[in-house]
Amino acid sequence: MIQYILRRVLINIPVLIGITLAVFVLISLAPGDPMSAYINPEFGTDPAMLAQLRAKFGLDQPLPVRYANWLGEVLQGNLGYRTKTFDPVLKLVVERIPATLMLMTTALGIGIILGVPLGIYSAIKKYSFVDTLMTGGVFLGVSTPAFLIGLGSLFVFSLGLRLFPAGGMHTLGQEESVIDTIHHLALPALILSANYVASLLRYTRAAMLDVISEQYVTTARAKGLSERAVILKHALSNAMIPIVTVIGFSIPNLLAGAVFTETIFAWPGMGSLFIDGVNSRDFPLMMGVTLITATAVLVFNLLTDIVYALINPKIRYA
Amino acid sequence: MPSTLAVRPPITRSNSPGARAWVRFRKSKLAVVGLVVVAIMSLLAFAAPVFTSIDPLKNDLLNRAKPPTAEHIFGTDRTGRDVFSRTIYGGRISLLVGLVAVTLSVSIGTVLGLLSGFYGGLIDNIVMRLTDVIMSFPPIIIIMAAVPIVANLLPSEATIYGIMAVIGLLTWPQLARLIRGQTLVLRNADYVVAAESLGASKARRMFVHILPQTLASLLVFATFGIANAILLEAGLSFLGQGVQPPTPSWGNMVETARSLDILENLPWAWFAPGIFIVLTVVSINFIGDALRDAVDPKSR
Repeated sequence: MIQYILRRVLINIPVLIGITLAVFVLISLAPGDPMSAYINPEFGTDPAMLAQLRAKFGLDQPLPVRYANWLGEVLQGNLGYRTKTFDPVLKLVVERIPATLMLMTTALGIGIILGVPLGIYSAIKKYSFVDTLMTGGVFLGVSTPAFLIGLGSLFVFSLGLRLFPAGGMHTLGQEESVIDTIHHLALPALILSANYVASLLRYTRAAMLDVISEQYVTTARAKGLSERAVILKHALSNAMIPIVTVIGFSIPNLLAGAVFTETIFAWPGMGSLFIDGVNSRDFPLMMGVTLITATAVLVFNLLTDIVYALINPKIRYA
Repeated sequence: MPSTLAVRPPITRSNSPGARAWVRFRKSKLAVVGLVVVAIMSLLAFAAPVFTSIDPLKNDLLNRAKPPTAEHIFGTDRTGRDVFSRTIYGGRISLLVGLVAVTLSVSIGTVLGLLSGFYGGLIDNIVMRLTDVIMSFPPIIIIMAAVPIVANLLPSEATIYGIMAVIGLLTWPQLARLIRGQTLVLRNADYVVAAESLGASKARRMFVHILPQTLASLLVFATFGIANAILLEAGLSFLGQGVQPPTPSWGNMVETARSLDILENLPWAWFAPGIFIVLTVVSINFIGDALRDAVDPKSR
């Protein structure tokens, strides 16, 4: 098991290097002064000093040397400075992480709580009216872009029915409270989870159908176990293996979806920060968010692999 | 002999794999409906001048923000432009982005997948790590980061081609993995080994013997890929980084609804392009699903 985890970690190291290389290539191609990726532009107006710093950071060096220099800075936590406000990018991103995490974990929770049981139900009642209805819903759910669901719900629930606030994380001028935050969180989290519920439902249904026709499920039934025990214990524990992978691998899409929901609902997370960066052509900020999200995805994939091994005895005892 | 006994050509029922797949495909009513919807959408988009005589870019300040009427069946927007005309002309861009981006990603994915699976070793390792790297980036984030950089290198009227290229260049890894997996199996199949013993070159074995066997999954990937590319372009335009106004695209028409005023007071201005996106993507997904069932040997 430890050997398996070690192997997974080792395989991911070249991928991590590849991610930094890709981001570095984009930074090198980006217009604007590459100096902003290293120093706080506030202090750098004197041309003589700039030339000196340019030499110090090796910007006159060939590309591979510059990559090594840049990587060294990144490893020390220097992701450059925001062109507009001169704030260090890492600090800005870190400040926004909790809001995004709150949104994503809530959406993930809603997705699992709704998607998995509905998928199981759909598989048990295969081709029933409810199953057909849910399959239709799934198609609609995966085909409707997050921003349309977002605008639609904003239109109906916030502007029409006035059930939820139209954006932000807290009511302005009011003391921050948990209830208030939940009230602001509910709609964006539900919308972010919509595509996710749909795809999780589809995969759960498919995984359950695969498993239900297996002989050991028939055996469990033949032993006289209750249908409940057959489905929940024997079938589900095997169907969970592909489902866990789907949950883990949906993190990139969830992050991408967060960009839309955060923008529509003015949710102060990494996604809306990223869009701020894109709109003001702030390349250090854009690249910082890109690098951090890709690294996060890599870490999540690794965790998924480990969880996969933990619940799959074929790997656990190998 | 009476001429009425003229020899009729024998009734042949085509039994090629393609014909059999088509018979299975037609069984899915949803997919047939999807095919019809996509056909209608394409017709509206590419023959737009036949269906409307109103210029999608023309402002009509006397008819601003009008709800749907007989003259403007989807109403007009804030500057009096006809929403129906903009919607169908916008479909051109959306569908074109889908087609071009997918052509690019299918070409790259197929070739790299074939090379990777056929040669194995170092090539395989490099290609597979490359797919790992690209798939680590959340799709819309890396595309949004790359588009302004690519756009900066191109003249402004060519931005749309930059978008197609970026989407194509970043969506091939799934297909490459799929083709690689099949090639790994097929390169040792008896008929391929036989071809080798008859002196078929590596390129011939890859592209003449192995490639046709992967066409089914390639077709399925391409179908879902078009839906995905349409969604990506719409998302990009919605965030203000895709097709630039005044040129209409479904995404940038919906984008106008980010202003709460338009969202609340001019719902027709964003409903129509929104519905067109969903209808098109749902239809393509129906087609892809039926296609997968039709060509998948396991589901027979």
